[in-house]
Amino acid sequence: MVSESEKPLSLERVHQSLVAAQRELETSGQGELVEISAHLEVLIDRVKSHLPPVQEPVKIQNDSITLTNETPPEVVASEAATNPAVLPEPELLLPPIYQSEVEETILVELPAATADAPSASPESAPSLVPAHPEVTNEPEASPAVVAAPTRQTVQPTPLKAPPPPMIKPKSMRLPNGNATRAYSAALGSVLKIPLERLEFLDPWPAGLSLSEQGSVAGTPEVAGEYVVRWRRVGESAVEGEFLLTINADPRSLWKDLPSDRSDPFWKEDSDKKQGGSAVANVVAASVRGRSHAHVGSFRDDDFGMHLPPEDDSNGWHLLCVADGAGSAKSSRRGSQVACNVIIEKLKELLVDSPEGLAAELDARSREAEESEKADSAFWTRTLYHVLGTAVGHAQAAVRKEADALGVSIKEFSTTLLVSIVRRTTKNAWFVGTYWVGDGAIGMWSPEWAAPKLFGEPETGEYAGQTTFFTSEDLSRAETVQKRLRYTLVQDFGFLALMTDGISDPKFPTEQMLKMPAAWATFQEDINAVLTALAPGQPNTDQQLLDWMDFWSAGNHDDRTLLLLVPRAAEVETN
Amino acid sequence: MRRLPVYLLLDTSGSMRGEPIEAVRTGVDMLVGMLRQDPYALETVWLSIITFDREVKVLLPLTALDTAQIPEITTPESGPTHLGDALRVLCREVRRDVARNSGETKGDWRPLLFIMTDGSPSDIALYRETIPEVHSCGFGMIVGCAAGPKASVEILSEVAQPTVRLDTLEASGLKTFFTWVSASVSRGSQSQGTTATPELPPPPPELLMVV
Repeated sequence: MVSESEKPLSLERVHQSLVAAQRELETSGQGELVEISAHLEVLIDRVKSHLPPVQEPVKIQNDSITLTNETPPEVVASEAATNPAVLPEPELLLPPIYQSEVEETILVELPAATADAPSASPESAPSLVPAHPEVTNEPEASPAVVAAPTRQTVQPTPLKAPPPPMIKPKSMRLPNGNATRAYSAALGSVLKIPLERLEFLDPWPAGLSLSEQGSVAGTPEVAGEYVVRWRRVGESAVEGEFLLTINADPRSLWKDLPSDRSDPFWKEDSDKKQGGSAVANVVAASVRGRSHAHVGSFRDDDFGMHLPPEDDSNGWHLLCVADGAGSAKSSRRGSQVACNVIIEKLKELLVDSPEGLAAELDARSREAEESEKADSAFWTRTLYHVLGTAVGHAQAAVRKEADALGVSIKEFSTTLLVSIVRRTTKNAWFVGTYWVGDGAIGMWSPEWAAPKLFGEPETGEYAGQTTFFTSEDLSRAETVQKRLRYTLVQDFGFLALMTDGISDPKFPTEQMLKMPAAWATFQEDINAVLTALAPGQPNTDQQLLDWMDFWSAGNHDDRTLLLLVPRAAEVETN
Repeated sequence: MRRLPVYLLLDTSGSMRGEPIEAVRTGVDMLVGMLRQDPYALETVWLSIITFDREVKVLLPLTALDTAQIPEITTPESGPTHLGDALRVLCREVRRDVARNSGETKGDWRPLLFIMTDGSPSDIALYRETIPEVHSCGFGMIVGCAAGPKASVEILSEVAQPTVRLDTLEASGLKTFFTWVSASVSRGSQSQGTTATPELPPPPPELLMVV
């Protein structure tokens, strides 16, 4: 260690003046002066290289450990201990396995700072074993064995003359844990001290314990910031401490606040419906997302359905789901009006007028698959007439509400996914769809090589961006036409209409919506509902609602799913 | 899983030495602590911290909030404020780490950026040159904080809208800024299903919104 007196004092003054001048220039905010300050810096560096080393506080760090003289450990510890109210009770719900990469992050060799390390400088070693104010505490954990390090990832940094009296225990940060999730972290090479020579002055967080192999493992129970101090057996001074953050289980942090019933556009926080015709059974459920429940806001999703009478084998099944934009103030009303008007108008066009599309469908004598291709011009034109008219009315109805309030229709922004389904007298299924925005309309049968996806989900570059039905220019025929799809099939497993609250967690990428494996997995996932739905068992709607309560981290949007299963179809149980 | 990437660009130039940098450290710890109490943030926020003085350091590469460990924030004795270079590094990080929607990948939420400086960029030419690139990175929000008497609000507003100013570099004010950042991030992580710019919570009185 070079003593300061060995260097000329004047050089130090020069250095100080330069630094002061440089700071002055740099913070002047004037372009030229700031530039000069950058030049001065070079000079400062040169002068500095002739000065004795500067005394720095003892701080050595890398990605995984920090030696610091900040934050008295007892403060942190008592905060966690005396303030249990802020730490929610964890729920023990199917915790995913958490396996920390301890080998990668923890095994470090601490710098030359112990009596065991022969390279320790004479000045630094004793000063790192200071008298700690808490040393009178009895050890609360029995000594155990710490495994020898298998790798070393930190290059020792030489300690520069630490100021003797103020050294605090060395801090090592362990990987963060999560309440209710399995945790394991090796203490690593605690200074290469055998575990039986260590004693711990604080308990490990509830649920965790130290194994004989020297790792802290278990399932932490309570969130908080923990400090576990240690010293050598027989020594009075605290030598170091382990810092450990346990995050709360996010499930315990979500609140479920009721929505405001006095709001003019209030709707139930969840909704469900089921019904059946002679040929198919339909179930739908819609729930408010956790994000909305947390702040007591509304469900923006909606759905609608109209089914033919139970004795009608060839009636129309009219189905839709809609997702009001989270950013739009009255979108919950937008989705509701769009669904109601669509169903109403389709009923008028298809059910109340006995002729029309149904008669044309029945008149087609070809096999379903053949007609799908051969009559495409006809189907496209007819669908355009029916669905185009209905969506035009729906948009007009939403606009009328916005106009009445004197606001832009954007405040009512919503996606819209519509399907019309009918079994023809030739026993084929006709499905026609109109789909704007994210979510999905898809059809699947385990016998198929590929799912039928009735369009492309429309998403922007980033999450949460999509197109809205309410912004569509419906006066342009091609705008409507490009949203229309149809199919004619002999049989199928199920048809699903879903908002992105379902499609995001269940089909994490757009590509997956086209993958048979993803649909097979989805079918397996909702198999209990499908199996109950096929024969039209009562309370399938409640069953679907319960299923929709599935946990998926980061996916807390409203969820709406509508399923149609042909009555004859036996859903395979894989 | 959709992530909300949050980038903090923090000035660690020589003039921040002492109490201000201590306040920044405390502020970042507070920020992380508060966000961990917010279920939206805990599930979605990924945090990155980039510091700039003469050197630009990616102190914390984009990391999930629950696993993030905040490294020590240090400041040199003196030196220039290379904010321009920091923006350049930021753009590189964002382009590499933030996912955009494609058939095979799930898009993240639009990233949020918070810049805190107590001076003005020493590399002003590079700074101005990089601004268009920053604006093309798809940030949902770029918030500036010009802290202390020497900070240039005008120059910072060239990249950050809105910019708030703090009259002094006192610890209490800096901490207020980080509290407000936390509230803004919470709000940002809640406003999903939106194409609109996330709405900022009203800043506390210490932070003067520059219009």
